[in-house]
Amino acid sequence: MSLHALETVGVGDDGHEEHAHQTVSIQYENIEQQNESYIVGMWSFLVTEVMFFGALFLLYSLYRVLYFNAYLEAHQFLDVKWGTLNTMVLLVSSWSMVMAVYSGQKGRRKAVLVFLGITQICAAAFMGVKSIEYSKKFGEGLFPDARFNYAKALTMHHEESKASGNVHEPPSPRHVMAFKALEEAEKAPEVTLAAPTAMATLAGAPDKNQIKEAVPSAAWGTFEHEQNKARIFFSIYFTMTGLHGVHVLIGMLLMGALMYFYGSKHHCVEDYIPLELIGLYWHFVDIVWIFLFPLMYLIS
Amino acid sequence: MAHVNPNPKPVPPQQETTKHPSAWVYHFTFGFLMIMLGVTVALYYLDLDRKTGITGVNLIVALLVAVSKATAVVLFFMNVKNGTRLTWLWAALGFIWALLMGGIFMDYESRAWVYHDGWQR
Repeated sequence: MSLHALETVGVGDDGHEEHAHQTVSIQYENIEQQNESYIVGMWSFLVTEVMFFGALFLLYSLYRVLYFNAYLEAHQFLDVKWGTLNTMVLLVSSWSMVMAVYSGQKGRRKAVLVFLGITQICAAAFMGVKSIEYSKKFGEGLFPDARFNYAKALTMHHEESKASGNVHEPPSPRHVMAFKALEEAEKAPEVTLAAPTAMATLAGAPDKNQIKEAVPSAAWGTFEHEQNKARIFFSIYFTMTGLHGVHVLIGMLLMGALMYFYGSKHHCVEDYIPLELIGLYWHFVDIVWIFLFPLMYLIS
Repeated sequence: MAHVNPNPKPVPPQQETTKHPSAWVYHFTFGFLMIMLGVTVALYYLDLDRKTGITGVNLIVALLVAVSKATAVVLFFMNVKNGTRLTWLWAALGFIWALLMGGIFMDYESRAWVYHDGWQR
């Protein structure tokens, strides 16, 4: 007899419906104690996750206080419509996950598979929207690496906003001026650049001073200062949403494993607790996004 | 060495004491979350800061809405409402810790910035 087969108890309190059966392991007195141990264990893990994301939220808040205007300007590159859609998708996934857990508690295997499938589709949709957003940011030069090009992004965004008649917050004149000055400098024959763009050179290459001299605008120094504040915003944005995305991917893997086990009627999912624990993890991922959405997308 | 009884006595069936709410609670919670999402986005476009003339109103209201959403998820979707006292303690612990981290702000407020040579100058 295995350690996990000493005692089997039925769960549920109405006595009419089919319920999942749980097995009490030898080290526990009863099913109540066993379930509590599992759930508290999962919550302990989630507390470490709160610490992890909490530090990042602290970082976000600190720089938001210090560089509020830069945050206000930089956030307009994040599309509220995509953010809202992603929040809706995650909320639907949270509902379908809790319904999967509910079905698991009732012992309805097929319903578990259906609801886990819905959750998986929502998670994939979330990642799809995120990839669209990320690729747009890469294209605009907003990824905070050596190719970070804030002036170009501001000008492009302003032109797009003008064309669509949706000018939320236009870029400041000094940004547009700096970008135009940079374009002129790139065209000037006396400036030889090693890097493909002048902005890439400015981001840390040795020709930085040469470019500075060539740019015929006093606004450049100020712009560079502002650009670095926006770089901080995008560094935090990519770090936080990226780590959140990694959590979504891990959740998808875990749900995939659960679907496999439920599909193959594996004995490890006779007890619904693995499903409930992964459900707790998924709801935590949802909670992180609930805070990320207004803090990143809805700055005013 | 622990003694294992080869013929354990049959144990009477036990009722699980952790209650699980009916599916309607989950549907209502989901509806509440969707309404709150609509409220968050509507408030952003309304721009309360500009309307009231008080800076930060928008952020405070947006965070209050986010906290109410997170509370609904924790209480109902994560079933802490029907959880044991120990589960309550652990659930609260994470958020107390997050609040304590806010205390780090005091350090930034109470000390002068130390500038180093670099881009910030």
